[in-house]
Amino acid sequence: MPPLIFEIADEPLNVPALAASLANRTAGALASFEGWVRDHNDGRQVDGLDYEVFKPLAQSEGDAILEEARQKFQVTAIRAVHRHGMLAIGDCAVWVGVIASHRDEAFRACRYVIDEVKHRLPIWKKEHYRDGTAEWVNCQHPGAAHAHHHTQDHAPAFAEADMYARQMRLPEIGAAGQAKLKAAKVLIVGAGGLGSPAALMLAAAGVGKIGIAEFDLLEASNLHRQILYAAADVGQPKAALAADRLRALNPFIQVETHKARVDAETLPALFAAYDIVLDCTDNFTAKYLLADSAILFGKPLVQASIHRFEGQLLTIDPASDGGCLRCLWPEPPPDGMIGNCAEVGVLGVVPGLFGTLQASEALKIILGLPGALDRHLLIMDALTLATRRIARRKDADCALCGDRPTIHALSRPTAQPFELAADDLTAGMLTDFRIVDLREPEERADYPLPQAIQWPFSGFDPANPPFDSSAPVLLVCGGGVRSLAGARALRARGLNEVYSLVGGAKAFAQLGRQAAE
Amino acid sequence: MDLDVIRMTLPVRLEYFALLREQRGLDAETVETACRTARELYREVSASHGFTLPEDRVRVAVNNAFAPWDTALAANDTVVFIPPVSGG
Repeated sequence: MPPLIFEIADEPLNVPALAASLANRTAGALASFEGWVRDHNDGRQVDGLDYEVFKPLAQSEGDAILEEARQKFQVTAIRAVHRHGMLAIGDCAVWVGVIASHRDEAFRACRYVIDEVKHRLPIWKKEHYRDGTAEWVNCQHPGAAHAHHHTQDHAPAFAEADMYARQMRLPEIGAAGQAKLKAAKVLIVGAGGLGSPAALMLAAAGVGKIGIAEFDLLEASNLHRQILYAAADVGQPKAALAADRLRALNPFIQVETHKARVDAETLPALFAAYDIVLDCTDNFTAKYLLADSAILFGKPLVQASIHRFEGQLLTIDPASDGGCLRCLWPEPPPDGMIGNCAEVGVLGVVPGLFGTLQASEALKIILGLPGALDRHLLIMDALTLATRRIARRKDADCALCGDRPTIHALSRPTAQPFELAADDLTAGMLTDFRIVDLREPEERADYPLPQAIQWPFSGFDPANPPFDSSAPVLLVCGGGVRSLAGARALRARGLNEVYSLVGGAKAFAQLGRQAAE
Repeated sequence: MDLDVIRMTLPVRLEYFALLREQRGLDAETVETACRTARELYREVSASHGFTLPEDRVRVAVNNAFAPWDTALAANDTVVFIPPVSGG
């Protein structure tokens, strides 16, 4: 059977048969929920219920709920059925069954599906009371049943403009500014330490469409700075969690998730679909791709970057003469030269401050407020609270936005080579590498490598390397043949930072002499 | 000759950010320097304090504006060395 089945049923539900239909040898758990017709509601005695379902919409909404649950949780299959028609006390009105490898995911997915079904399905029930009367009750919002006989998801009991009353009072914003915000489309790339406050502030301000580009799962070590998330969410995909949180904060806006990694393939369509992009990523590769996209696709980009207790903020506006990231630093630095949050640490409030500033810059652009950072770089240190706003101008020689640009397309990742030649290696890189000598003991006299880990190829077992993955590894053998085979075997085991030295120990010895000179 | 060099030293305020702050162990300092350009000054402090970033990976701002490395220094200039950062 297909893994996701949502049905509207006119006949009584056969619960044992529904549960049996999910039987699956790979599943270790079935969590199911039954909703029954009870004999009272709101203090009145109830004799029975008449369910009326708007079937086309209920079917598509039910399908969507199951698909969301499948994406959020590690489940094998989900089946959910909702009754239509007349039901008596004790009848089963709704049944949800989830099978999964583990009970946690089954319970969570089951809970999610029934909660969303109750919230979102366009189903009304007519309660027949003991006193002979009957009344239509909306199933979606039991507390506000009479006010909301429509299909609006999570509709609150107030008007959208009520949310923005305090900012609309600002003469610089007013109703016209609020309409600009409603029409704006902002993409947030990276829903982490920077993206969390940025997304919350923009959603709260009423930005009409917010995109969240994020491919990661939530980890416990994210929680100290990524304030979109809750402890119970660890292990789940951040994009969907972020979207749920933003929709809960502001149900009047549109939130879209983009779960693919940002790269040369995905960025053109993303930039085309939004007006402004916030770079809330945490690595140079993404930052340079986004900076290049801003110029190549002609959309403003607000970039923030954090280092321990301080951060940098700038806006790249293709329409401005302030230039781009490459005008300041033409190329990203080599890996390991600067250090990222995972390596050097970060105090959670620092991305909190800068993500909020990114939201502020986006609002300034949308609203046409003065003071945008398109011709400055802001640097702030959270410890000293020293702030510098440094003027910058387009560099005429910039390869991206200068007078004779040489960058006309986004760079595509090159496949990581298995082999490194001596010419590729600098003395500095050699100190980072762990050197592993694959030669047999009798070969080692020719070009001794006393600093190397000895791992004779006769005893080579890629499942048990005599090193861990904490540092890159350079394999060296007699001529480069065994080391290449070894590098391939270890990469296949997931050790990605393993390389083979072309030319073997002789090439390494020459390298050592060059370094000494 | 020595006297000439001494007369030519300038007081300059230096500020360090990110990795350079850590490697210098200071946010800011005022130095008397005989260096005539921002580049010479970076090389001097880089050699004194063991900075690992070559100057082509760092930008210099003089008096709150990014400036070319060959910018001439004047007395009481504020010179800020800024490496790129990438955290989030």
